[in-house]
Amino acid sequence: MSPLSGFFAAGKNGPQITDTSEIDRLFRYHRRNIITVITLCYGLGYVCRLALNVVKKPLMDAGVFTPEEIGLIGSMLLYGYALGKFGNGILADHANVKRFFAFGLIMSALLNIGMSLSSVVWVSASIWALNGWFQGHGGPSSIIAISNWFSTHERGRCYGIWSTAHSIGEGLTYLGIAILIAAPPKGLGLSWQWGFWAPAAICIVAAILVYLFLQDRPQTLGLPSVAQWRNDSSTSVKPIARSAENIWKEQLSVLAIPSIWIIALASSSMYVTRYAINSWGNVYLQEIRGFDLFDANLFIFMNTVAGILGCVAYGFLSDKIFESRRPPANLIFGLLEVVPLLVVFYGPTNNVVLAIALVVYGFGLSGILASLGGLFAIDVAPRKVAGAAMGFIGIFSYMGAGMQDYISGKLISASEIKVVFTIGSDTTTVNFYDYSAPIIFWIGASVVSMLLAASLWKVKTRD
Amino acid sequence: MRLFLLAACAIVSACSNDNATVYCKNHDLFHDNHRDTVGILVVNMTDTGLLVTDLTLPYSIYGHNPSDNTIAELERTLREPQNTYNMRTVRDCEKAIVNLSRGTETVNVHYESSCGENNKLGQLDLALFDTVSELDEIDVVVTTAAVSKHFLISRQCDNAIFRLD
Repeated sequence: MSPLSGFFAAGKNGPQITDTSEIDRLFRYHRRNIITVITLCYGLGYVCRLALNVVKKPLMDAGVFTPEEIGLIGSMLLYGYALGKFGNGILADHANVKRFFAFGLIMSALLNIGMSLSSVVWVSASIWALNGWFQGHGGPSSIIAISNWFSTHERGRCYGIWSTAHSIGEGLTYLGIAILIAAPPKGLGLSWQWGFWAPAAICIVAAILVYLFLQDRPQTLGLPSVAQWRNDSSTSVKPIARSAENIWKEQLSVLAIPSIWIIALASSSMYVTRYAINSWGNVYLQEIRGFDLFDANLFIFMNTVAGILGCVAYGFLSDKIFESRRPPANLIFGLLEVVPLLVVFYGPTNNVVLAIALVVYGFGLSGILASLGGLFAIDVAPRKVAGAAMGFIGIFSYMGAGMQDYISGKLISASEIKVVFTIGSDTTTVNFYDYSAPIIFWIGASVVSMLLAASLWKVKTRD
Repeated sequence: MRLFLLAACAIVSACSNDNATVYCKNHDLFHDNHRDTVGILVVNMTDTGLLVTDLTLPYSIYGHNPSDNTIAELERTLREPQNTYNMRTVRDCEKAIVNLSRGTETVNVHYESSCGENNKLGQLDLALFDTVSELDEIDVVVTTAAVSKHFLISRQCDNAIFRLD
């Protein structure tokens, strides 16, 4: 029985079209639209997820929230996203993805508007947790759209194209939103609320585009399946029938594989560092290195762009050079992640050196991300439960990221020194923070991740 | 060019065309006009619990040729550290050392307060604007063990001004 009904439920098959040229035309038209809209709109939706990162410093400077409170709020999105990715993955299998994805974007937009109106910690934390849940609509919807409209031999390319959406979103956020908030002449000097209003507007536009151009299954438009249209026989293999109980038992067996636990812990540690840099890196650059808001976000953007190359390079290196053995590539990319971090935080204060270190870090991190978040797990887990393995690792990863945001905020808050100027009944406050403790936490987590991944040096790949 | 920038920035921040807001947001354009009446405060907080504060106040805050009585009164006020700053620490600190010197155009005061290690400073309260009512603006540099910040505090502005180029 489907958990969804009514507006969100997957559509019924439509009257079959028999005109071959019409079928060709519709497939070409919709496939072009679909790959474009899921890539563009998943990226646009990202802005509603990352908005808080850009306005963290303005929020702290305005005295709206302390670092600890912001860390708590940020962590709630990640917990919400962890649960949302899992839960919405199940729901999306039964959904009309165009409505499901669009609804998630609209809700994320509304919740961003809500954030702009709140200065109460528990309200903002609740809003942001819900935002995390609705952000979890986009990924499963996109994957299902790819699997519905592109055949097996095309999906790798499509997935690669879609994966660039992360960079679209991060670029738009770290540069685009930063331009609104940063002081002139680099920015417009608008208030921190614009850091939520602009993403909300962007997400509403994205929702409209998704609703107009994304489609449910081809069969709902009277088209054949993409496998039939492309005569791609590998997708016509029928899965062996298994009862729900058997599937559940097999999936639970993932938890009995020790290497899956190690990969989950390694990924969780890696997500600590990943989200530490993405969430607090620009605040660190502003607070400690004296960067302005625009430059701080630009430098963080550099590391995310480098990540595109890192993913590709990791896949190539591990497949071609190390004959599909992941541990040697994990070690190389782990070092490419850790060493630049040491340069970022303890090396020369030269900005060119900093930029290069962030680029190399981003490159290394994305390789490790590709491995621990997917490739290595698939290698180690039995084929039938690869999805469950990745889901388990995914939840662990985002729980790590969520805990990181709170712990980092707490460590930063604990170091606070307020310098308060009294002017009559008013005060002007300047806060000072020491990032020594969180930096040790962030670098320590990346070292732990590298060591845990390296401990699986001899683990055998399952065929 | 400065007038053009001022006009452009005023348009950009048009949500509030209050003069104080323009003055504060674009203070780098105005600052040179009144540097001679701005106090200077340099605070250094070491990780051994020592707070060193150097304050320079120009006599020009009292206008042209202030009287000797006025300057003497200012010096008496500044010799008491609590009129300048108050430290909120876990435990009490030692009595502050004060060295005051009178220059031709400024009074310079050096304070040292020792609070010992493992005695975290949570807040430093500065009451200069209340103590010296003629003071409109202070150029401040505060250095902690982790970071150094340079900013202006002005009576007319709600927030510290960081853009000083």
